[in-house]
Amino acid sequence: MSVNFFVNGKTSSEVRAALCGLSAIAAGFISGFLGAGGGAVLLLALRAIYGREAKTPYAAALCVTLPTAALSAAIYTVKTGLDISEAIRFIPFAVIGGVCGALFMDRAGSRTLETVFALIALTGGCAALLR
Amino acid sequence: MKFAVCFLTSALIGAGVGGGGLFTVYLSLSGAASQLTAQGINLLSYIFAAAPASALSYRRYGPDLRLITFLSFCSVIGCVFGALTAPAVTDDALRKIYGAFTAAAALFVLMRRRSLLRLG
Repeated sequence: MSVNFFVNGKTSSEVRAALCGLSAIAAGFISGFLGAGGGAVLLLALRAIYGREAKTPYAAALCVTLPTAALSAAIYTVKTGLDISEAIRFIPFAVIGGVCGALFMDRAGSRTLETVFALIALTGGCAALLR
Repeated sequence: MKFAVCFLTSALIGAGVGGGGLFTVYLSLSGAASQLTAQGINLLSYIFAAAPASALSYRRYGPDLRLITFLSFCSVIGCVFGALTAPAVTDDALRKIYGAFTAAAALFVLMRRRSLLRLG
């Protein structure tokens, strides 16, 4: 049985679907295990599969991370006894911050923000690793 | 302070830059919560921070609903395994894994940014 992985130099739809599925499972695992990062992994994978120019990856990754995060949060609450009353206090700040960010998105230099975010994340990540 | 960090990281999430990981790092390193609790709080706040950006990008780009449903299904399967595995790891090990992942992701972004600059 021969599987046609590539059609005219492009990934065939079946292989693309399989890669998307595997990437989503991996992203979901990271999201559940670390409580973050799944969206970034999925975005990276979808960009590799669909190409950098496609607009699908970003919106799809963002939409997929929401139900994943909701389920992860539910499991964390049940399995780790997460104090919901403590966590709920952060929600208003998250909502206002999210709305401000979404409105700011059109005007912000996303590349600059990305670099600043990466530098802070690198510092924080190293601090967590070395502590 | 932790509410200000929540606001700032949520703004980064809303802007589509990312930032959920930073809130966990802050909560964990400042001693405000254990690594596992920090991850749980971060997940909950992420849902509310990402919702506006998701709605906006969905309206703007109109991604394929079938693709989103398929990816969500696969992602949920992985997430169940991940969320059930996390409590089995010690808090210290989880923080180190988290730190390594965050640092690696940040390095990747910086390297990609550098190569894009070089390409002009």
